[in-house]
Amino acid sequence: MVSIRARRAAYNARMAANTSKTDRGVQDTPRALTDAALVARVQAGDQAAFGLLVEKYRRRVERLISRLVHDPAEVEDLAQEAFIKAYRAINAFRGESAFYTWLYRIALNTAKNHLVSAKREVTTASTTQANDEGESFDLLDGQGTDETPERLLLSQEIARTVEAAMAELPEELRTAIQLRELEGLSYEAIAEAMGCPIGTVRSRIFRAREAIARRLRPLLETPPDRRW
Amino acid sequence: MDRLNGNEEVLSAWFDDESAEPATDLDLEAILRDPNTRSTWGTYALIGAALRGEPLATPSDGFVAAVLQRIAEPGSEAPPQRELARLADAAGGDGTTPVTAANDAWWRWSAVAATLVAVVVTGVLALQSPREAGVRVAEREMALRAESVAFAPAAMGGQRRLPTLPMGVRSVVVAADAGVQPVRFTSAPFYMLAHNPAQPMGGVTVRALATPPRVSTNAR
Repeated sequence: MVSIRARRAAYNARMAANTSKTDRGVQDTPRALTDAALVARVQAGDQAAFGLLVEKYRRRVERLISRLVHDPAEVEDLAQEAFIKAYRAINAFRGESAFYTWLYRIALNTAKNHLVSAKREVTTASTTQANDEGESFDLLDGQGTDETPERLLLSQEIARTVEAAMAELPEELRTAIQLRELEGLSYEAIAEAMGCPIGTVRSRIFRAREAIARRLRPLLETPPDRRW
Repeated sequence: MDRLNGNEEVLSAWFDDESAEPATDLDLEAILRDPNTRSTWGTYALIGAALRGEPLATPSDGFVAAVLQRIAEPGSEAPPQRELARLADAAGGDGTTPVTAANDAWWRWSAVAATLVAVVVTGVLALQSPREAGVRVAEREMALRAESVAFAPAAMGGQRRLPTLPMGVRSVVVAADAGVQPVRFTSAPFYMLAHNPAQPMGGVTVRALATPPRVSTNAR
């Protein structure tokens, strides 16, 4: 057990050092066990398990695609297409890499193929772009991908609510969830960084999420016909 | 045992793939069964997206439902590996892995794994000399009913047996997408598709497992 931990810490330290800024929050850990278990269920025919994976990664996929495709409607369509392709190819996933790494490649190819088929030049999107009135906005801002005013307003409200909830968190909870979600560190790396046991890290991240979720829940009422 | 049982700290750790004890099949079943737990899973994803500045469409906007609806449509399913293995085990045999004897599903066109093998079955005359058979195939191939079957190749090194073919079938043409060579082979009572071990994602080879059945000269 000690040797596994030591190897994992060394691996996570290397991963933390090499984590790309464009892929924050993705930890290609050697033990993505929940994802692996979900993939196994999908391979056995459980489509609902695929829904959990979609829910977990759809925004990262949309963010990736939005760097190449600027039309919000196309971004969403291509994201769905990427997940459909991933599902159809799920039996080809052998677990040699993390599921999201594999999904990332599918999503990237989906976006590039779309651009090629549309005879568009594949370029890397700049992070800011000016509209006709000279105002600039950040293309990487999630709000830029919303296609309706209602969704844009809701997205802005969600962002404000999360920001406000984060500001109210005790420092140790805020630090723990930031290290996890923004820096993509493993629990073990966070424990080392914060000088506390892994169990404490797990508890802090959970409590931070629950505090933020309590503030978000009134905004997230799910209509019955939208549940899956 | 349902370890979740209201303990959402466990769910939070599973979401991060950081639980000391990985989620078992029963645990995932508990997550999938409870809409509140699924909702919490979605909220955790939303929180992370908000912190990272990713698109913030809410869990209730129908994206997941739309994806699940599309993959549930006929023709978009990927044959599950475990189900195939289960069927193979149930069929038993001589070390080959027959999928099924007469399963209609295999004759539906269905989306499959990355390497797709399409099998076009053509019926030909029951009795021909090898030379005549070749000519007859050429003459009748376009006129006869053709059925298309798409199925996932077996795992590397594995084999897949096609369902029992109609009477009189003498040839099977195997076409494939990129990376797999089309193969034409002569008659056999049934056919095998096997991966070339040297080419895990392609290199389908076909071989007959037995000599052709004896057919009356008057048979068609």
